[in-house]
Amino acid sequence: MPVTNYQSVNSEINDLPLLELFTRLREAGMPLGIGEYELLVKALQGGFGIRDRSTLARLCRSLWVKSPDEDSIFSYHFEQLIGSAEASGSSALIETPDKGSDSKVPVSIPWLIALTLVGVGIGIYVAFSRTIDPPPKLPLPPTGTPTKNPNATVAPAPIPPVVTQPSSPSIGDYLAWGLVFLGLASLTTWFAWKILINSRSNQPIAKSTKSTELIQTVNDEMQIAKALKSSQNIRRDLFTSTTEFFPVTQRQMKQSWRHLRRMVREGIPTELDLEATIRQIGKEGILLNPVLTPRRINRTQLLLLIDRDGSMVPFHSLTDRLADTATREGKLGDAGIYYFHNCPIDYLYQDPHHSLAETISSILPNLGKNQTVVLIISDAGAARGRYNPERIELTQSFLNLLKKQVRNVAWLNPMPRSRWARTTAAEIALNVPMFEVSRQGLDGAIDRLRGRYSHVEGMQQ
Amino acid sequence: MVGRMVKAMSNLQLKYTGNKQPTLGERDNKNGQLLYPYLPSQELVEVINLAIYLERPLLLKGEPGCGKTQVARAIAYELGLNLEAWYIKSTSRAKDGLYTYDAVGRLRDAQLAASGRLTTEEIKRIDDPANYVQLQQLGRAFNSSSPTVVLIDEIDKADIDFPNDLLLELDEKRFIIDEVAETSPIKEINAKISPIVIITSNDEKDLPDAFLRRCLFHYVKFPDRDRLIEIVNARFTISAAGISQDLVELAVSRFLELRQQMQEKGSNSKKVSTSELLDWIKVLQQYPQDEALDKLNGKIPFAGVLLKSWDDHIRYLNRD
Repeated sequence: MPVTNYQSVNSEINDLPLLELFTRLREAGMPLGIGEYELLVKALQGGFGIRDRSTLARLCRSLWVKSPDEDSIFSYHFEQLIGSAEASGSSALIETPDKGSDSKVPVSIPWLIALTLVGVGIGIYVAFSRTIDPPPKLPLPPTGTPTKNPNATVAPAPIPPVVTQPSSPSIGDYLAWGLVFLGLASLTTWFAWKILINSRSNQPIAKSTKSTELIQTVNDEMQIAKALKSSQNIRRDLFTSTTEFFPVTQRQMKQSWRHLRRMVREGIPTELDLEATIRQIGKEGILLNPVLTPRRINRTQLLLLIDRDGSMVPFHSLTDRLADTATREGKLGDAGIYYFHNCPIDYLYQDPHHSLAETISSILPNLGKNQTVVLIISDAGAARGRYNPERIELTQSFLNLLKKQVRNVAWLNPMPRSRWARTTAAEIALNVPMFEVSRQGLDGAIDRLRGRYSHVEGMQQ
Repeated sequence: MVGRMVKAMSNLQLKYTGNKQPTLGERDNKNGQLLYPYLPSQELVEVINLAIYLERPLLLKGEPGCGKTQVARAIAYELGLNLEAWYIKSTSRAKDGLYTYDAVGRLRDAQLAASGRLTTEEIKRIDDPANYVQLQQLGRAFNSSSPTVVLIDEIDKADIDFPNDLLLELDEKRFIIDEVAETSPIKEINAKISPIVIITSNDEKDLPDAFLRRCLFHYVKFPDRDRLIEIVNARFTISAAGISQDLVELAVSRFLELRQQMQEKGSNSKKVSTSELLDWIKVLQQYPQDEALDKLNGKIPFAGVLLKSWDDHIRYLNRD
């Protein structure tokens, strides 16, 4: 049975269902592969999703859509290609006439141009040929010319150009000028129509996005994937609204956070430690007790300290995204996220608006020394480019306090490394490993938090 | 090829409709618990049949209390299949759902054999490590010759490696037991019949993409008002002497109001769910109908069943 399935798929290449939708979704950045498409075909052959549009949409969603962002992209493209799944979808009503006119206009434009040019050409030619008549009949030379010099060659008498008076306006004239007028009129209407089409075709995009709620921000990695593709084929309908241009995409952040783990053996010994048992048998000659060891569990708790407001305002969405992905990856444990402004002095705040304060002296002792690692996200003065000795000192004293209480500390700076020179950041970077926010920077910071010193960073420029 | 065809054929005949419900007082024959009806939405039924047909696991997400875990039990009940339930803890490892190897037991037996306290049959048993392998939920499902429903509950509680460790097992439906000899018959367990795998997640942590790719996905939506009334009716006609329709309708209306208020306040906090509604009505129906209706018309009675935080209590009780 599987063999015939594949055969039937291969033989009807042009009838592959929903191939266009699949391609568009792939171009939009959704992680779909051939396997997913084959799954769809298999489901269709099994009789699923063929009843009506909404069933088909649900089928595709179950197979291909795995997150709310993907859902909005899927809805958008599905409506574009197949029309609205809901009967009352206003986008369908708006889409089809414009789709029709869009397809009509490209066809009729060349014809219209040809018609106008032909009309204008004929009209002008006829009109001018009427005003400038062909040379009239010449008066015959008089027969009674003297034949005094019969030797002179009888040269044909020169034909004097005679401008005849313009004859009275005739039907032909009317016809000619009429054609010219018609040509000009059709040219004008064509231009006007083109402008109208342009202004109207802006609307369906906005309307259909409203109906599928694409105005909500779309995942930034999909936007980047689209930006790469759009250089090849710039189609207006491929652009979706997003305000995110992060140096690290959400998916990359998630993957980086996953590396932040430390498997230690802690807890009740339940597992058999085979090597240790064998060693013990070798030492003692008999097996007295098997040696048990606790299971390995992940014991890392991340404490995120985020600088907020002031020079960090442009980076709020970036820090929010970092905090959000870290939380969703479950890295924070008991430690959590705290906010500060410029430099943590006495208090740290539990919320971004600096309203719930906690003293540093009450937070730090509660952190498990072996488990907690601290990541500070701050521009350290690099955003404004100033050098502030007081800030350096305060930060230094805070860091000294911190390093005693936790295992590792790292610093993430949203400003690129090239902007740190001669600012407070450069000084702070001498004392704590500081990384810029890029894929390598984030990975470097996480490596540092894990206790791996991969390369000398932050120290040399 | 023939074996695969056999697998495909038998699963094709399984079709879940969501219509077969347990009768009054029926108990589960394994653990003796009372069985309750489960009314799935039409979309859920569709996607379950899709998962059965395509032989892929089905990942269910939704609010806590919306009935994700009951889906597997309902499928097993209607299709008359065994249910293998695997409840994930934060310390769970992927191997634990496949098989366990009793290494300590084997060492102990070896020790006893060395001190001469075992009979000859028992001594022979020690030689083959396969005797110390015990198949767990997925292993049993693969080994069984009739289809099984496997429930992997709350997969996002486990460590991030957990779903990744299950990829081969879910994809190709086989696994290898490391501790037995190469020539042992149970070295590689292949699924004779593809099990129906239902995975639930509370969406606390993100699942890796490679894992998501292999699953079908469905978000269990909160039922609308009519459906809620149906669910309540199905649940309570089955247990006690029935329940009055007025009470049900009023209770559901108050419940939906409350839920609406919670939705307006913030989308992140926990909203009241279906299971809490059922508990609430269970409490309400203990009272005579007039009293219960009176209570419902005032402040929310027995708020402790619905509101689980002090913030919620302050916000919604003082409102009336």
